[in-house]
Amino acid sequence: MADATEDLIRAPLNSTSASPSPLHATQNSTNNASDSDSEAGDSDTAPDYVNFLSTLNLETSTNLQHTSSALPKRGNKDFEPHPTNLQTSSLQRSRDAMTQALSHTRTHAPKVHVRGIYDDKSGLTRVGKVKGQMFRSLGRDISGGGADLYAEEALWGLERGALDVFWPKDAPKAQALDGADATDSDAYEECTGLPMSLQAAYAAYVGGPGGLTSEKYVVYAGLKRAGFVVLRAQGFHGIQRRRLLQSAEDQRFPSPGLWAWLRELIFEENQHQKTKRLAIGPLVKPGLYRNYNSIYDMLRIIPAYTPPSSTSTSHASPAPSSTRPTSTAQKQKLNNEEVPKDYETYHTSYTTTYNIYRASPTFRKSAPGAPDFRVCVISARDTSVPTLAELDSLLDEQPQDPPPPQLQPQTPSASRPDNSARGGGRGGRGAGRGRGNGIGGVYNRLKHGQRNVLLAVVDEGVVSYMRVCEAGFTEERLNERVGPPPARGGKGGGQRGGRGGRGRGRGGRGS
Amino acid sequence: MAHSSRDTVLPIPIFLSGGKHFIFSVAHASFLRAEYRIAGVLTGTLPQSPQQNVFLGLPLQLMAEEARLLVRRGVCFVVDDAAAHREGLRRLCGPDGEEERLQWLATLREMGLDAARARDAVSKSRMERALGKMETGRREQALRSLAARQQAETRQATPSEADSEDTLFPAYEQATPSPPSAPKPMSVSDDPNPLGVTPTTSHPPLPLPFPDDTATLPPAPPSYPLFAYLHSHPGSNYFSSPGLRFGCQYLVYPGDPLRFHSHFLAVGYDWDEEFDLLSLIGGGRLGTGVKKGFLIGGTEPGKAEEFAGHGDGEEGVRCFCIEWGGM
Repeated sequence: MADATEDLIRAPLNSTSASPSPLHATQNSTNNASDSDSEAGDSDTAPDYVNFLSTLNLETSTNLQHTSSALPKRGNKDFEPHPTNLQTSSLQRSRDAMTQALSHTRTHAPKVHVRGIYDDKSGLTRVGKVKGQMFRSLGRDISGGGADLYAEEALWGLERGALDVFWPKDAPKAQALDGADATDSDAYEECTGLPMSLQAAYAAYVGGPGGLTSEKYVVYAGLKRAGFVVLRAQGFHGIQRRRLLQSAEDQRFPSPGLWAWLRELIFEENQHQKTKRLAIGPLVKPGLYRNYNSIYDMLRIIPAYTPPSSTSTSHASPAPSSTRPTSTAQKQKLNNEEVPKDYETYHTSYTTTYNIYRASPTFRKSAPGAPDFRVCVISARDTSVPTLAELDSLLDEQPQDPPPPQLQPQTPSASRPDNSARGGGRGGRGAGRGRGNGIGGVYNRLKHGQRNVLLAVVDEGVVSYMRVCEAGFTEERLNERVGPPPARGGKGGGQRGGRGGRGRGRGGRGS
Repeated sequence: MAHSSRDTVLPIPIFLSGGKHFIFSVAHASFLRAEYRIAGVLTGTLPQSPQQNVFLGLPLQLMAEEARLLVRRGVCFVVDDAAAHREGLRRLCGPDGEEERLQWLATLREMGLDAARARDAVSKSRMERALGKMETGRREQALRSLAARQQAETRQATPSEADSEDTLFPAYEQATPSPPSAPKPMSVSDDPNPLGVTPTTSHPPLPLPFPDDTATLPPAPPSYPLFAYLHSHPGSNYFSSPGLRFGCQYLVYPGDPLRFHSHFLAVGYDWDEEFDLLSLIGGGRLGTGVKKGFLIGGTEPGKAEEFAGHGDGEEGVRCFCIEWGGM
């Protein structure tokens, strides 16, 4: 480090010129393995707005869109200040460029002028006549070609210069407007009071009646800028439901059916027998065993949590659906929705805030489908590390997202016994056409998890994303990986348990 | 630049929306950056380029520590922006403010007209340049076709065509051979439709806020003394920004973050606070790994009183820098 610094001092010309300083280069190479990351990963420096302006058309500062398709680059930075005129002037140039970039005034050409009226009671914004691509994934349509926007949607539209929001002149009348009235009619004109500035929009929307916080908006805008479709999820307002304890227990331990009871009586050891075996041994009873798996099963003496897999039915977590009320009335209803009898509600930071979809030409806001990601927005300053209960309830909101098929172990298509015996050498590692085989496949599956959620941690405007997933360690039976991979129908824990049980049962009977 | 720091009137309003501190004026943001080493975080979308996350625009979000420091120094004061706007805009949109409202709408219309004229001028100059480029490529061809045209046809009257553009249009016409009829005149009227304008700040139409004596200091986290110490340390030019990206409380820069890499990852502790040795090792390792120093600091008890009231709250702070030495 000292060497690099001295180099810079000796050769200040080099350090401020366009060529990257040696320190910068090493820092990038230590920080970021891949080249593509270095852009985004070099995040301790503010980007240099000189580069940004060079990508814009500079003959006007009033009304030009970003023209080149390439993203502007961050600039090269110096290690430390030293009293050279060159450094001073390049700093001044950067600051001037930033000032110029920030001085842009948002204007709306008449053809694409989209106007909305803010409602300070509900925090919604009513757009009279939607125009442009933006509304394909924004807002809830109302009759007559208009749409209602949530706070974050309206603020985002205004911020990117695509929406002109008005403070209502006659608030009750503005609320009564529907799309038909709103189409540039006099009625609409009467209701628009004053166009809101960016500052007014922040004052109205952030912390306003719409339930939008600064953290939620920063995450929303960041994702929208990155090109994702972002919709409010059910937990946007931070209200979580909790099943009351009594009925939860009812649900978790359903009374066994007659068949289960019969099976337990004849074949399987019941809980009592198992406890006895674990306490006084022997761990593996003498008997006739057909394979090692049943023995390994008996050697499993440490109880472990098994994440609910996609095939288990006893886990009745409601799949989260997007909140897509089509009208204000419906939204109100949803907010005051009656809680089912055996649930109670409470406030928590750990709920799903947004559902995120990759941009797709076929996306329809009326039928968004299953989200690609789900994100929970938390404030770094007000929230502490989630407790197990908070994390559990957050994950309970998430749908099953098992590892994709290419991560699953590849089973030989013909699973005849003679085949599999011969294919033993192939099976272990070499046969792995997919990534699911071998020990690497295990790691990939554990990393992917059964259910996952993104945490977006926001510290005064800076966002950091984390992915939390439920790793299914108990699903990975390493003993079954040795030798030919077993033919398995699905990842069903129940199915496998049944098979193992039968094996054990025989063993027990033989003794 | 247009915004000279000498024009800035102190104290500067900081706008509180949803519990966060924002600056909406470019002049104020530049001023605080240049004069008080307060960089803040730009969180808004740049309307010129709304589909990227590298360059962001106004508003400038200030950390609570930054707001507290500025208010303590008397440079800024905090305005409850939601209440101010609710009152101000309700009044303007009510019967009392009708006159002011119409006045402001007229001003906006003027601004929109100016913007429309500027836009038209730009598109015109761009078109001329494009045609000029085309001409250099096909100068001879254009001249020939011009001559042929002048012979063959009597020109239709296109009054808005300037004389100097006459030589350009044939080339233009040839490039787009679809209609044989005369090209449509570019109508650059004197009074285009005004563009809608969304101003960045709300003053005007709202009256400028004035400092309120009853306002309290913005609350800041317990690590505030370290922040104030790093900011106010005599002889230093440190800038601080939120340290979330590197898992610390503040990233400390030796100069403007526009031009410099950060030097320290700073974490503030209470003097007697117990913390894991592991957090030292973790911070030290991370800091050393990214060529920064891991810096911890806190207020030494008893020392703060000696200097009480003379600083920004940094009295009695001592710092330690930790470097991971390998294993």
